[in-house]
Amino acid sequence: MREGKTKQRATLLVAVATLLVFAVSPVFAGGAREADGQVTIRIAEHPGPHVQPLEEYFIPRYEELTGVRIEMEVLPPDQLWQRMALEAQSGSNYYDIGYHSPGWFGYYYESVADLRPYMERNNFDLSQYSEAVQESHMTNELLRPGEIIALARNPQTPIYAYRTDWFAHPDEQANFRAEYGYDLAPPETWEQLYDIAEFFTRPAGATVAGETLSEALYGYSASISAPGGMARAFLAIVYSMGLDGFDENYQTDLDNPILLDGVAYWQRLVENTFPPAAATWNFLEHLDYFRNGRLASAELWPEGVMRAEDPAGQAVGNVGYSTFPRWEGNLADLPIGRSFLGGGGILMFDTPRSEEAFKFLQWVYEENAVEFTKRTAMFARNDQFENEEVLASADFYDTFLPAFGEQMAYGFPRQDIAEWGAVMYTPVGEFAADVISGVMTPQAAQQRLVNNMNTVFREEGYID
Amino acid sequence: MASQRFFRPWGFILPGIVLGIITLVVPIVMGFRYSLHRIRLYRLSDQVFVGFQNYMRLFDDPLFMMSVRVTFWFTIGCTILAVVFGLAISAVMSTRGIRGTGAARFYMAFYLVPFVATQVVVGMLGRLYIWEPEYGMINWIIGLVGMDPVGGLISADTALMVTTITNSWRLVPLALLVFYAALATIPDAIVESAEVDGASALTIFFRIKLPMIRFHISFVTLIILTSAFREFDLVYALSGLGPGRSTNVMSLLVYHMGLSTANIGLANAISFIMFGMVAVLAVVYIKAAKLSEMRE
Repeated sequence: MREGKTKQRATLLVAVATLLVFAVSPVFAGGAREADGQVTIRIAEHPGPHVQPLEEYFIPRYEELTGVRIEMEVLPPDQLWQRMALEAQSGSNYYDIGYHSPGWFGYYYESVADLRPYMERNNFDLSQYSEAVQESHMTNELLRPGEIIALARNPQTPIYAYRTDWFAHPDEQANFRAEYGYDLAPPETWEQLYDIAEFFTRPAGATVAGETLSEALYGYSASISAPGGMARAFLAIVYSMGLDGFDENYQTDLDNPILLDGVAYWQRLVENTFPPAAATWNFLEHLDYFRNGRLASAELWPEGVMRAEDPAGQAVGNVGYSTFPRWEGNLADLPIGRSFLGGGGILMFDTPRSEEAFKFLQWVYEENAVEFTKRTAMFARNDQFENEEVLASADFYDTFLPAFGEQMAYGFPRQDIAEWGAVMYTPVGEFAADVISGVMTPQAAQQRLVNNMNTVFREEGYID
Repeated sequence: MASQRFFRPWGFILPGIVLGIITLVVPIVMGFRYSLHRIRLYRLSDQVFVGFQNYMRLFDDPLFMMSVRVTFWFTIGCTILAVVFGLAISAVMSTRGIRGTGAARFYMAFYLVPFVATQVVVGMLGRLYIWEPEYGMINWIIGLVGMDPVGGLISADTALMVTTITNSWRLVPLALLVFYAALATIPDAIVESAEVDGASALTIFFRIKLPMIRFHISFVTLIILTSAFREFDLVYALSGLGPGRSTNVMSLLVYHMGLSTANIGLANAISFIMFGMVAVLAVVYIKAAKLSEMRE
C-alpha cells in the first residue's frame, strides 16, 4: 500500500517536472517572453556583406540602446523566399522584417506592411532615394498601389570584373593579340568576353603573367546551380539580347529564335571556361575563385565587391570593373549588356511588432546610413553615394562606382506581377540548365518555357 | 451488460481512431482535393477546380517521367546497397570470436554515426568534404593512386550514383542493427552442429543463418524501400536537382513544383502519385513475402 503511494508520488513528480521543462523551453516560452515586456524582432536575411556588420556591430548596439532583442536568421537565397512565403501564408507572424527582392515580392505581397504611415509618423526622409530606386525597389503599383513596400538597401545589377595585372601584362597582351587579332582589354561584346575567357582558361603547370600556376585557371565564371543560380546568371544573356520576357499585354518574346543563339553561346561559355564546381554554387561563391587567383574574370553582383577585394586574397588591388558587354545584333539596340535590376532591400511584415521593427530599420538604414555603407559597400541612398567619408574609405570605389553607376542605368526593372518568379526566374534557369545538361533539345526547352508562361498567364486571366 | 461489452472496447480504441483520422485521413483527403485544383502559392485561397488536369499534365511531361525513373533507380540502388552491406557487416560482426568484443562494439558505434546524424548534415558533409571535386576526400584518395578525379556530384553521369551511395551509407546502420540482433539470436549449437557436419562458413551463412532471418530481411527491405522512395532531406542537401536533373527524385520535384514554381495543385498531384506508388509497392512486397512463407 505504502509502496503504491510512493509510486504515485513519483509519477506525479515526473509529470510536474515534465510540464516545467516544457514551460521553460524556448518553443513554449516564446509568448511568455513577450508578455514580460521583452520585445523580440525576427529578421529573415539574405547572405551578403551586410550580415557580419549587422551581427557584430549594428544589432548589439541597437539592443544595448533600446533593450529590444533582435534575432536574425540568414538563409541561402532559394530557401529564404520560400521560408518567408510559407511563414506569410501560414499567418504565423514569425518574421517581422525580411529581405526584399522585387522578383520575390509576389510570393508574400499580401502580408507586407505599408511603410508610408510609419515613415510619416517618424519623419523618415524618403527623398534620399532616387525616383528610379523608389520605382524599382520600394513600390509595386500593380500589387500594392500607392504604398511604400520596402526600403532599398542595395539595388544592383551585375558588372564585369577582371584581373588588371593579368590583362596589362606584356606577355599576355602579345599572346592575345597573336591569337585573336585585337588588344586584350575588357570586352565590348559577349563574343569578346568568350575569347578572353577561353584565352585565360589554362591547366595547372601553365603560366599566367609570368607565374606558374599550381592549380588550373579559369577564364570566366558565375555561380550557376540550377535553377536559382543559373537563372540569375543566364538572365544577363537574355536581357542583353534585348528580350524582355513579356510585354505589357503579356505577350512573350521568349519564342524569338535569338534565344537559341543565346543559350548556345552560354553553353559554350560554361563548358569551356567555367570551373566545373560552378554548377554547385548558388550566388557569389565563384568570387572566392576570383579572390584566390583561380579566375581571370567574373560576373560581379556589386554586393560581392568586398569578396573580390578581400585584403587576404590574391586579387586585391588588381581588380578592374567594367559594364557588361553588348550583345551584337540585340533586339533593343542596347549599347552595352544588361541584366535585371536585382539586389534589394528590407521589407516589414504586418505583425504586432511592426512599430518597433520600423524603428530598428530607421536606426540602421537612415540614422546610420553612412556607417552602414562604410562597413558593407552597399549603396542605395543619395547620402551614401555622395558622402566624402564613404568614397574615401576604399581605394576601389574610383573604378568600381562609375562602372556600377553606368550599368545601373541599363538595369532591367522586373515586371510587377506576382507570377514573375513562376514565369521568368525559375523557368529561365531550368531552360538553360536543361539545354546545357542535354536533358532537352534547345527547341524543346524553349517550347516548354513559352508554354509554361502562356499557361500561367492564361490561368491567371492575363490573356485569353 | 451486453451493450457495455460491445461499447467498452470501442471506448478504448476511439482516441486512436480519432488521432488516425486527424493525422492520416484528413491530410490525404486534403492533398487529393488540392491535386484536383489549380492553386498558386501566392494566392492559396484562390482555388479553381480543374479535375484531373494536373495529373494529365504530369503524365504528358517528359521531365516528370524522368523524375519517376530517377526515383526508381535511386530506390532500388539504396535498397540493394543497404541490405547487402548491412548483411555482410552484421555477418562478420556476429561471428563467434568477434561478437561482443571491444573492437566489435567500437565498429558498431562507428557504423551508427551516419544513422544518428541529421540527414541534412550527412548531405552537407557529402557535398563539401567527401565528393567536392577539387578538395574532397574521394578525389584526394583517387589522386594518391594516380587516377583521374571523378566528376561526383557535378557530373550528370555520376551524380545519381554518388547520391545513392551516400544515402545507402546512411541506411546501412539500420539494416546492420536489425540483422545483427537477428543473427545474435541464432543458437550457437545449430552453427556448431553444422560445423561438425563439415559445413563451410559460407554454407552456414547462406543455408542456415540467412533462412532463419528471412523475416528480418523482408522487414528491413520494406522499411528501406519506402524510406529511399520518399527521401528528401539528404538529396536536397547533397545534390539538389543535380546536374541535368540527374538527382531530381520525386520528393524533390514536389518541393520544387510547390515552392519554386508556386504550383501547389501540381505538387499535390505528384505527392498523391507517390502515395499511390508506395502503397502499391508495400502491398505487393508484403503479399510476395507472405506467398513465399506459405510455400515453405
